Amino acid sequence: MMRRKLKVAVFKFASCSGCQLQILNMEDELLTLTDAVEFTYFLEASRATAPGPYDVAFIEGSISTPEQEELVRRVREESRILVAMGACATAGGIQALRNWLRLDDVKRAVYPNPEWVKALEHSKPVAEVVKVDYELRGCPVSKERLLSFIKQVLVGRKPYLRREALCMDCRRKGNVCVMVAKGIPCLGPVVQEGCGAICPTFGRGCYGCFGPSIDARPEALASRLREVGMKDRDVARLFKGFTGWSEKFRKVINELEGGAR
Amino acid sequence: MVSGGIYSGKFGELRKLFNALRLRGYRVIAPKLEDGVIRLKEVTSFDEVPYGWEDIQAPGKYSVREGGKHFRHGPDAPKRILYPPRLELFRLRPDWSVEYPKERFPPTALFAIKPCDLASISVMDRVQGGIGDPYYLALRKKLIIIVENCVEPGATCFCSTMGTGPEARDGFDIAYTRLDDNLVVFRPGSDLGVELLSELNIEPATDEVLRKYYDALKNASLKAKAPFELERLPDELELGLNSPVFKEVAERCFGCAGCNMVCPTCFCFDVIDEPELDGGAVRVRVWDGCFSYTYAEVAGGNFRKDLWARYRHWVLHKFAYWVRQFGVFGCVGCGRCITWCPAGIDLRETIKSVVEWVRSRGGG
Amino acid sequence: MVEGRLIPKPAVIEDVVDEAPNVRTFYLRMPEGYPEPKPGQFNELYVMGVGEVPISVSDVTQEGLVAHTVRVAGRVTEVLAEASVGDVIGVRGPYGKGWPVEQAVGKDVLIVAGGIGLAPLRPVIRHIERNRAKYGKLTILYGARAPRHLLYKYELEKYASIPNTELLLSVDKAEGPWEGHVGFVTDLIPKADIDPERTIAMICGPEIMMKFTIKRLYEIGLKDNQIYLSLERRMRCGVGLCGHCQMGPYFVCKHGPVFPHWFIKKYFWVEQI
Repeated sequence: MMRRKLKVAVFKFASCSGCQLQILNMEDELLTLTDAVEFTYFLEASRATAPGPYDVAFIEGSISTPEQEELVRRVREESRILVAMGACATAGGIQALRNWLRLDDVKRAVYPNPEWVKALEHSKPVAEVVKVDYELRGCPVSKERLLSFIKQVLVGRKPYLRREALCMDCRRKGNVCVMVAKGIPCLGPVVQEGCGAICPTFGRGCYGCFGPSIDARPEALASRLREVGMKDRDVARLFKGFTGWSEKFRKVINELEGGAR
Repeated sequence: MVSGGIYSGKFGELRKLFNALRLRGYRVIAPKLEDGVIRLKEVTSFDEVPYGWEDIQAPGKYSVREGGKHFRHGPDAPKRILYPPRLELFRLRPDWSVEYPKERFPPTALFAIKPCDLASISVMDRVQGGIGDPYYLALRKKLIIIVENCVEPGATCFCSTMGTGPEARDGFDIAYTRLDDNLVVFRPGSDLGVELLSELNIEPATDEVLRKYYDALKNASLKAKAPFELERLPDELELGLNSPVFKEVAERCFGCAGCNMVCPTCFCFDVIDEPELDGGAVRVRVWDGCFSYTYAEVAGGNFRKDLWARYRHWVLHKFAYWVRQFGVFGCVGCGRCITWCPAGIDLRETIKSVVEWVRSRGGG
Repeated sequence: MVEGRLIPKPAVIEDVVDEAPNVRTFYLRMPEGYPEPKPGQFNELYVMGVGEVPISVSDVTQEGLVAHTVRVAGRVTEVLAEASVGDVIGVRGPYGKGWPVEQAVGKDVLIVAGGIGLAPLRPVIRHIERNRAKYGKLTILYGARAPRHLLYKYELEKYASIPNTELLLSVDKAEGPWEGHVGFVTDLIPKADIDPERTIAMICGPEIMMKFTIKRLYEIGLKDNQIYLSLERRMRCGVGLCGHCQMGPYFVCKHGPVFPHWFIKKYFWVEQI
């Protein structure tokens, strides 16, 4: 099945490099993969780069500047499979919190010379700029999912990763539901599985870094959280984390915050 | 099924029974308090069993308190042990030869489980056992069951309606009932149970103890009731397939499939095929649930794309289709799907409303 | 044993035929001990490390090759479509209840198929052809999106030359020269010469097409117990264990996929059952 080596590129946009590091963290697995995979562009790992085209391009980070828009379009042209990797690339990331504010206010609050900063109005997920073939969610992405994804591409299969609510995985794992047993607000019922339910395993609620699950019903979760006594503002804040700018969560946030944007 | 007499003894006899199981080499799995929740896990000491603790259950809420007389259960059902959530079935080598994982099954005792969970095992005997699940059968063969009858059912319990409790009828090795702090009633339900009880310092129950025993269980059975009757329920629910109730309730549902996961009888599984770098592959079985979106999805569409349809399927499967498929209800009345629903949806209310809707239209 | 039933065994692809856009037929040399499938049964086809799909048997050749006509629609069929002669894939089966070819002896047979739905019915046509004297009139009504989407074009015309057989074709859009009907396959029902008294109807196609077909068959006088249909569901395990294919109390993979209409109609017509 495995013919020539798979040419893989990793590009970083507005992000913290945590997802790229996950690739490097697959130490043992990387060794077994080197026969089949060649990283031809991966600055975090090596300064040596080769030009495209690429079989697979992993995109880390959101698109926040005009230059990034331009670059990601070029990457798209050079890549057979384009993968948005991580919460920033798939949902705009934590930096998308600025999308609810006026850009000028944000710039002035952060930089001494705001006029030097050229930024887009919104911190955008990659899919708002170019066609994305696959999404690997999370902050950071999960090593297991990355590896499974690469293996599936290698056998020539259209990669499939389950996108059900985290609850199923969490409960299969044998965790106790933190919402029910501790009254801790948890986004698990509406967030995509894939992280291995790390947060609930440590007794805290899911804060949603994997973004909405397939067929997620965040509006139902929001009304339950209000029913058990949470204030609208706090419910909105819960959703407004790493993937708040995802379409489904954004809608709920805006409703809770009273129709801003 | 062997059924011996009824005996009574002091609380300390339970400890002796526990120790006897350990001495005979059984891995003992029992209720165990962990981080404020009663789990079903391996315990090595009788003192780990949470006697003196009580769980407080309500739709979407669970807590425990010390000083209570009786515990019920937590989120874990015997299903977790007998039918694990994730199981590697086999590995296919690149030449298509098959390699099985090596499983070793120690003789296992389920200690102090509740009659509803005992009933769930007899449902599984029909489902997983009936179809010949080798993992299930291998473990089941080596299983001994000590059941604790429920003198104090919880607020989400409805075993009485489902006919599965609060007193265990059969399928156990020993059933015991804690009548008060130092009075326990024992009943053997198998030859092994008789043998184990004969080693304890107990005596045939006196009339007074018997009266107390029957009163306690009768009293309990009045509590563990749902607002519906089983008689004709499957037919009535099928008449309610078009009831708006399912859509109304589904508005509050998250579709998280948590109920599927905590249900002691839900058996659906998905098959996951993972490629290996050597050209072979692994096949893994994982719990699936009918609430998940992809459950009824095929390449060309989804037969239950709307959540209300998935919710309806679950209710109908438990209370109507299951009876037609396996000759028993798929629900044992443990109430886990109510307590552990993060949306706090009460299955009992749903069924009641559907039945009312059917009757109001002259059906049923 | 469950595990045994879930193990795919290797089969060799001996021939591949392009049928229509995105549709190919794979002729497989089955593993030893594989029982001869009955018309309407299906197999689970497995691609190593990729996954499994339930596919109806669309023919059993004289040499004993078992044909599967596959439409590229999902992640497994996409990889399967790339397979070529000599490749090895996995099979499990045959599964399910097939068409009532025995009950139909001495009767007229009406076949109504839409799109890929002709595949599981092709063995019925073959069966009648080989046992021609045992059956009355054979009517085949077949519709597809466009002429190029019709399956088995190289043998469709031959069906018409089976003695006492009527073949009517229909397409949604002609897209060029076309002598058959343009419209729905159900439009063909009143055009065909069907004796409602002595006919057994076998239907396979998209659910909506089967529902319209049943209504049309009622109009010409067929009763529920004369109508059979083959259902599609997510048949994951194929042997009634995994739960995914349930329709009401029935496991489509094991109690079906072919059902008499009277038997299933209580559930079949309920939205998203």
